[in-house]
Amino acid sequence: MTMSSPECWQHLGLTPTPDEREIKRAYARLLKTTRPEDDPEGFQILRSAFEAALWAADALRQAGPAPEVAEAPGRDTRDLNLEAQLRPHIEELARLNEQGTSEEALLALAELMVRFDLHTAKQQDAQLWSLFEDGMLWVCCDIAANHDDFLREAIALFGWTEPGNWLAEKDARTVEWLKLRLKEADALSAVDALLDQLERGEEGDASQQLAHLVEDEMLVNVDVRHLFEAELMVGLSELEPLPMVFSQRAIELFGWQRDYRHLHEYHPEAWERFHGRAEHLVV
Amino acid sequence: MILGIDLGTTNSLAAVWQDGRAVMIPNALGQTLTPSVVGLDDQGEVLVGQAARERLLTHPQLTASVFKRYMGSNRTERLGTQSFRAEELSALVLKSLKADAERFLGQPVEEAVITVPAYFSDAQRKATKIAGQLAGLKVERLVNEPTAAALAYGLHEGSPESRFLVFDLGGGTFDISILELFEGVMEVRASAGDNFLGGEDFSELLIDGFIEAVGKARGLSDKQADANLYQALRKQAEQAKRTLSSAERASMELHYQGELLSWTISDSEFLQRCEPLLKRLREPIERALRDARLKAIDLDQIVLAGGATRKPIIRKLVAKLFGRLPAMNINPDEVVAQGAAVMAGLKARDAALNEVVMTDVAPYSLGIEVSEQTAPGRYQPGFYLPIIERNLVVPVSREQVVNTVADNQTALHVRIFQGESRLVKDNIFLGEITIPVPPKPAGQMAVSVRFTYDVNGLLEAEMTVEATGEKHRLIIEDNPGVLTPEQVEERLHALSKLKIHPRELLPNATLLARADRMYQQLLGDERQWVAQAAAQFQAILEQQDEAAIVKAREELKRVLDELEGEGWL
Repeated sequence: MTMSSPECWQHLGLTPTPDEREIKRAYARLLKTTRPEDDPEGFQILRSAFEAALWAADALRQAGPAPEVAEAPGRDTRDLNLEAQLRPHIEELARLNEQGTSEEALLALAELMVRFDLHTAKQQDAQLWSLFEDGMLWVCCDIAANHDDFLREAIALFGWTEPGNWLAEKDARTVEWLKLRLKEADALSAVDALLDQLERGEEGDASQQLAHLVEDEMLVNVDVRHLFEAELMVGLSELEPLPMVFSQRAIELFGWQRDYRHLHEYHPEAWERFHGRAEHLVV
Repeated sequence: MILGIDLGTTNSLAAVWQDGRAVMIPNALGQTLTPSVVGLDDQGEVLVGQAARERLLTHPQLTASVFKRYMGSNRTERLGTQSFRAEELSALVLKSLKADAERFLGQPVEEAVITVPAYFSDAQRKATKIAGQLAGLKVERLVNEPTAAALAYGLHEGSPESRFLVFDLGGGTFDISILELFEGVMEVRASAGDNFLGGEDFSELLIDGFIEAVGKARGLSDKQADANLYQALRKQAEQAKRTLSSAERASMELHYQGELLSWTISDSEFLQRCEPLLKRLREPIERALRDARLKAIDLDQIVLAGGATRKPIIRKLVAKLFGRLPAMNINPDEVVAQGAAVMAGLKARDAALNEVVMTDVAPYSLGIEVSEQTAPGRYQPGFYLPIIERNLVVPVSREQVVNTVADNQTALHVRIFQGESRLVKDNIFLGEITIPVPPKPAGQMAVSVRFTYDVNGLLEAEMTVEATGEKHRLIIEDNPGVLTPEQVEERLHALSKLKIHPRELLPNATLLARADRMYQQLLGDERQWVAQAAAQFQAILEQQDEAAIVKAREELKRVLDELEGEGWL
């Protein structure tokens, strides 16, 4: 049962909105009088409307602009001045993470540290240091494509993942997220090493290495393993010709013949490329 | 009053919703956990719980355990001269819980909400309902175990919005459910599981290790060959498992052909042996996360349920899998029963739960067999066409249209399956129906197949011949491994003839069974102490002086506890 967009909003008593919370609130309110065990038909209609509205909201969010974040009030002049001076540099770091190489980003960071004498600020100028830290946290957490080495450097500089760091008190979820990113960075390095081996034609060694990695502590975390599998598949899809023995091994070890949705979702084109050439391996 | 019941592989519990909270019900021994063990005593009376569990060792031919694993199958277990199906043994456990509840509440109890593993199949669910019926309970609702655990946690938490994953590893089954909580709605996003993975498997590993290391050399290679030996080993394995939770090594001992066989296993060796089992935990987790379209980092909490999650190796693994420590605010043994009580409260329309609604999913796909064209004009049967895909919110109704494959085909044979495999032979057969269709050229006769799946997991199929509008319905009720209504009547009659050991005498019977079990295990002086203490107690029992019996019971318990180091549950 699928429902058209205008119809679903009507059922929920809403006007079209990108706000997921508002949709959930309307659904929850109606659900209390349309319980699945008491009114199965009514519930199925409500459920279809809810699901259709969530899809529609998702589309609206992707089409619309990102919400503006309100400026925090009560900041002194020095604070605003320093921020204005730092901002272009922080934005440049973000740009280099997205478009430049890891070396360029790290070099820019080192230059910034010298220019504002941030090593001294760490000990003596808490205001400057904290503005710098906020900016770096933004680059590390909100710029999706940041470089692994840059992230490692930043985490080492501010100690965000160390016990007792202010961030753990204030925002434990961000710390968890950063820890995950570090583990993911290690996993991605491992993928790169495997692909290098394959490019050198050392398929047998790479297959053996893969079998070791699957058992490794590093790939126990479900998110890390997920990313490892996806990046490995993308890497394989770009290899010409496809290393058959290695691919077969990967399919078996990760059970891709059973469930490959995560690979398809991660990179549909790469999956098609890989799957098209590996299909006869997938039994 | 509706009773909430967690009918477990190893232990069962009951709870009720009372004064706005879940209240656990104590059994005749004052404990909340009743071992899911059923036996006949020397007089042929039924013993349930700890007393029967003690007798597993001394009277394995008269005692049955882990029968939940055979729910929904035709396998029977012999107790003396009689044989019982898993539903009947479960019914005896349910009867005992019902009696405990009636005693506790001071009123008759006729309705129940029973929990089942989320990944229980259609046949297993029906068998559970029948077990309730055989115990004189109307089963108001079956609830998935991890959903029940989440219900208990959701109310406990009180945070308005969160997403959590319930990791439920019981004695015999493993379930994963991902839930989202918002505005009083508890929505199950996905469930996955393994019906044959639980704490009991870890015990079996230790038994196998023992046989391999010290048994084989002495001619002991088949653990199942002798029921007494097997139960003795199982008891040792359970103790070793518990020891390994806190110590670095544990020993198992067995008297075999006049010799004492002894084997010591280290914590790290145990971990290594557990590897294959631990690996099997990963697949359902990945599947549930992918079905829910979530990453582990998006979850607010990991919740543990089931007795096996007490094991440090399991908790360590959970922490590594999800990159964080799991929550343990509610006793993992009791959390499922508490959730069943919440569900009972919801069912009874308790005012305290007015603002709570729960929605659940169908944990597996349901579909039909179709033929696929393998060459022009050539069709091969045996392929699976899912109609309701797994993890859709229930109740749910979906439709697919199929066509005839042969010219002038006059009938369409619809075979219904449950599962995720591409070929129907790898899925579970649920039922079939043959419907007549008007003859037409191949591919031109269309039939729409609609599946409707309700909140209790009952499936209804409706086939509509598009050309004539003719409808055929099939309700999947009696599938292989499930009793028919006539058979249920028959079993009810048979069960009613069984004499149940009087509830008020259970504490005495349990203690004597334990003394017998210890007598069998111990040697020398210790054995004589047990014999003496038990004989004294028996003598006092015969005098029928209640005050003296209570005193003597305490005394015997003290002696046995001292000999065993600690009371074992």
